[in-house]
Amino acid sequence: MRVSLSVKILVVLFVSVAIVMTAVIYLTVTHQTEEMLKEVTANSEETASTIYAGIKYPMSVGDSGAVEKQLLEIKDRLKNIEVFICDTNKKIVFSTHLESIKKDLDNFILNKNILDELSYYLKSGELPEKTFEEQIGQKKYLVHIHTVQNQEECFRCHGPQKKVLGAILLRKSADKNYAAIATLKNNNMFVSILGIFAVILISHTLMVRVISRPVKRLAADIRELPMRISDGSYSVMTDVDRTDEVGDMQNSFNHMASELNEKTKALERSNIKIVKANKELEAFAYSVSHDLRAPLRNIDGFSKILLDEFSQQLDEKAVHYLRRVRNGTAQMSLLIDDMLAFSKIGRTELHLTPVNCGNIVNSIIEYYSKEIEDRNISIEIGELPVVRCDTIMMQSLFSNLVANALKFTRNTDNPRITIGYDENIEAIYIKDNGVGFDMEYHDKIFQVFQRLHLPEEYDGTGIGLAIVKRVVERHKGSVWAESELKKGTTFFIKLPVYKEG
Amino acid sequence: MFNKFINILLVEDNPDDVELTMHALKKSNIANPIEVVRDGQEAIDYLFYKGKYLNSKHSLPNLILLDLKLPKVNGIEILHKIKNDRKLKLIPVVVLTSSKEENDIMKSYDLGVNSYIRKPVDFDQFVETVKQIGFYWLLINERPQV
Repeated sequence: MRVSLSVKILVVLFVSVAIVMTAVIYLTVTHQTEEMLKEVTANSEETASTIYAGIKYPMSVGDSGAVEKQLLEIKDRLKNIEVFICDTNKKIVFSTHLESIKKDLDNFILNKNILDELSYYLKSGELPEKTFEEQIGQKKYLVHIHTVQNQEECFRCHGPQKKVLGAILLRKSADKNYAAIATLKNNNMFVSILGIFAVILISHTLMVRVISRPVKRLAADIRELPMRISDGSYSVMTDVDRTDEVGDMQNSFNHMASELNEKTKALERSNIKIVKANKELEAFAYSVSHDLRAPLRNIDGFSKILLDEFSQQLDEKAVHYLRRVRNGTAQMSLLIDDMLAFSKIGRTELHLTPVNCGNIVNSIIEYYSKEIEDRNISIEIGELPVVRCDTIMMQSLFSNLVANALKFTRNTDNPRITIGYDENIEAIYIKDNGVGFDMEYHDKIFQVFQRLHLPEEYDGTGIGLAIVKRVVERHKGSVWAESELKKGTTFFIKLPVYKEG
Repeated sequence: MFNKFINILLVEDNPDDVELTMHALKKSNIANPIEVVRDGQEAIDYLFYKGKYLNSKHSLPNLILLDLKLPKVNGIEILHKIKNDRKLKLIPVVVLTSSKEENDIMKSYDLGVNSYIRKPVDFDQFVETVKQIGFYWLLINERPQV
């Protein structure tokens, strides 16, 4: 999936700003809640002290009626406060709820934590000022614990042993406080979200302008560059006044683009040169084929007419020289043909098709059948592979190799030529028992015009094996020979074998 | 005026080639009259009765032997003109040249050449070739009356 740079920037901005803002909101709200609890605790402490001061005297004289009256008064005055006064066994002694008196505190205080803490204070005699939260149904309360210490005026009834006599618990509805906190939270949230969006919008716009847009434009430039260079409308980007990384990038791009432009132009120039050179070469080949051949034909023609029609006027030596002239023209004609064939193999396109080498070899052997029969040459042809190759070039390759084998077995008794395929080295071989050659000259024999024999021994132009090598190379194959003087030569041709399917 | 009866038109610029071809024709016992033109423009003038042949009374040849590499107008252009003429296109044209370029062979056949022969260097073979051309096109082959 492709995500644009602008979207990525947006996501990063959103995540980072959201995290920061959430943290800020959380800290603010927590702080404010704490503050509120502190305030409530202080208030409750004050209220508890007031209540305690109010009921201390009636309690010290055992006037429980006065205590109850006091509490009822508090209930009237402070409508949202409940007061429970319990003994060390957590049995309610006095309460704003008259029905709760003499009952266990755990019937009315439902938060077990509060009761546990209370038990601890009652035993240890510590003086805590602590406020707890308690939830009853949907309603939330704050419960304040205030222990009642044993004092001198109490000794009369309670004795001096106990440190703590009981506790005053104030329960106050906290819905209003929590509602206030919630409102605070919501307000904070609202402002924050607005803030987040504002920050994101501004920074995103800025970042897109600063990063995304130049990068996008650069990308478009890079995309269009080859086209612009090729139709010549290329020019360097103009507004490079930035000094940051994006500016560097634009600079590098401009540098690259102009270099590319130059390289392309240089390439085009050399390509034109190559095309021209190639055309010249072709024209040259044409010229060789036509112009060089014409005078040659004339030399041969007029020599022949001299020999035919003026032989009476010529002495033996003149006739001999004229024959030499004709031999020369024949040899030169062969040379021209071979040279053209050689250059043609280098410049014509390959038409690759699966070709059965056996068929090609058979037709070539068929072509030389008269010579083979006359000279009583034993020919053996094994199974040959199907090769992906250019048929015409492959014909040229095999015809040169077969002609070679025939030529160099000319002075051999019981001449024998074997053609086959060696599975182990995956190469086609043509083996003869002819004159052979010194392996020292192995690489030379594949070079143009390189011959190892005198013309009167074995005729030829010295191009045949160069043609073979060129055909093999154009097929990305390899050719080599193994030979021994007077024993014979084997040529190996390795070509990419075509496998069916 | 004398109505010249021509059987073969030889379009060839090289005088040596002209001489050898004539010699070969003579050796092949082809007794038909032969007219030689030495460049492309002359060939066109001759065939279309233009230029110096404007008022000539010669008849059209029964066979045209055409070289491809000619001064002024090359053989391919001449072939193009011949094969685009309602009357001339009925005359068999044999390209007789040194070139064996695929391109020339292809173009010639594309234009409707009747035969394409590459002159052999060996004179014996050349005589044999000319003999066969004359024998085939003038004796064996049946042609429409132009």
